[in-house]
Amino acid sequence: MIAMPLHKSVAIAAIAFALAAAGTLTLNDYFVYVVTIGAIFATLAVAFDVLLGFTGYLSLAHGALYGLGAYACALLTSRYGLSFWVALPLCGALTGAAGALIALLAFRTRGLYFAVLTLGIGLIGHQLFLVLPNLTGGVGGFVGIPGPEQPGWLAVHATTYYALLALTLLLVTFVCALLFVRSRLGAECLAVREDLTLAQALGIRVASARLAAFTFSAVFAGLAGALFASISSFIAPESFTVLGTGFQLVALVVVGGMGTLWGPILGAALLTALPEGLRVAATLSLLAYGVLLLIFIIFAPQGIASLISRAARRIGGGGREP
Amino acid sequence: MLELLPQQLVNGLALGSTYALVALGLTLIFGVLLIPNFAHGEFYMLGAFITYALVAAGLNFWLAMLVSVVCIMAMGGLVDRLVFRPIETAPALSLMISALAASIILQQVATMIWGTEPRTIPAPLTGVIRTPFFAVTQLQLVVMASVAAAFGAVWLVLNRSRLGLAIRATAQNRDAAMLMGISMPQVRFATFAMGAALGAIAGALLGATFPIYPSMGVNPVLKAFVVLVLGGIGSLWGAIFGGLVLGVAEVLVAGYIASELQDIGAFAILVLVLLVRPQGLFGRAQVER
Repeated sequence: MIAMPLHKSVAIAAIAFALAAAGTLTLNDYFVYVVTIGAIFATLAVAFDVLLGFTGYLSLAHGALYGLGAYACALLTSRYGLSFWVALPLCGALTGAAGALIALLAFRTRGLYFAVLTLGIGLIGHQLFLVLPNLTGGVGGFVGIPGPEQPGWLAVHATTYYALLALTLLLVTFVCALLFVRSRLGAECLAVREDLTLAQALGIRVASARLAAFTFSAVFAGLAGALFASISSFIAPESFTVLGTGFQLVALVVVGGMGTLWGPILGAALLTALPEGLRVAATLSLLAYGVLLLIFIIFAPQGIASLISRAARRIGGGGREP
Repeated sequence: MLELLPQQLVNGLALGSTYALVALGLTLIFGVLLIPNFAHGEFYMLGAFITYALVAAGLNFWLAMLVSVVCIMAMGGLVDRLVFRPIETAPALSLMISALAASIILQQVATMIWGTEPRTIPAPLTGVIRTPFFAVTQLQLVVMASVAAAFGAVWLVLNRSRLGLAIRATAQNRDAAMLMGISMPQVRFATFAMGAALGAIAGALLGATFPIYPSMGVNPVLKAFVVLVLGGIGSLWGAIFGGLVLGVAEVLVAGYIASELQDIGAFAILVLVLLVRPQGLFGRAQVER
């Protein structure tokens, strides 16, 4: 795949962000909420794609990392009275550290064992949210998390402000992810994905490359979790299950297009915003996730992104892939 | 506390037997076809629900279980045909993802049919056998006996039949097996049907003891993966041994440390074992495709 120059990709992302931000100003509260949730999941999906799409390792621990970010933010802002803006980077650092630790353990294994090991870690994480009621509120959830402080000069409704924050986080995540995958480390991750043995033989620092990718995805998953906690004001363990959130992430990235970074955003928009917008029952939307995931993995394993690229090439008469 | 130990061990062995039964099916499918079948938990769940529906319709429990097992065997073949066969040559990652998808789909379909409210199958046996040291329910004995029977049956099929020979050949070297004229669709169907049957038996028996609900298969299948890792992938003995060890360990953790740590304990064992031996306790060098 011929990559677009970096500044061009960033410019397109910025324009898309501006359009989305302008769009939210015109929507009613409910759809603004849908955009917010969609943007948070898109952030998660982009972060997850850096790991799944660029190193080929399937982690099922990211639901718990997302939860860790959320609970850390809840504790820091409500119990210790920190400002959201102080808590946010702390949450990112915390989940990054946790992610690095998990990565150090999990990368001792590969393939199915890696998936099963991270699954075990994800389950332990989810169980810990349940059995530590002093810290997390247990089954009942954590109530009364203060929202992010709104600067006085930004005279918009709070829900709109939250949507703008979520979109900003998505933009920042996307640009950071782009910088990461275009860096030397990103190239090394690709080498790990394509052929681990060959990469090792070529003297590529396999361990540090995939550790970096895992930590990167953990940091941004934690940031997304922190923002989610702060704007929802209430969180419960059921939001961070392995088969709910962890699986959902896999679906978003695969349906959108692994290893493209922008595909997962489409995947998140399609799979998160659509069911919310159409107000379908949760069961039906999970069923749709499963069916879509199956159809894509069988018939179009490269996701929507590759379908779009192919269509664009056909229209453009053999032009470059976007 | 210590006088409760025999009772704890019996309970642990009973729990471990169900893990072993689920793991046996999972290890069979993984060992032969290298498919990490996350949907195995849904075979287990649907085995319980079909038994439930038939018992509710007035059928005798054992007959209902038999019908349910046959249905799930057919479903196992169908799942393989629709979900795994189309991507036979795809990398392991795709197989894992499609297995997750199949698992979610079956779970949601069951939710649409039966709802999320837990249900119970009236127990076919309610007797309790008491000894000076421990008590064991008749149903627990049936579960333990069925593990032994299932293991024996699978062992006989694998080692004393032409089909078993074909299955073992496929597990050793799929390409060579095909060159020898072994029919792959047949082997796949047989493997999936056997694996699914084991899951359905476990589901029906457990459904007579515990409440059943559409996501009931998630934890057992994850524990079965723990068992797989403990016992070594593809090893039938390993599945039985690992299942019993896990069951006993969980009951001891719940009994002597804290009951809410039971699940954490199980997954912590998994993490520890994988850390010390990334190939599993009895695993050989890893099979990669």
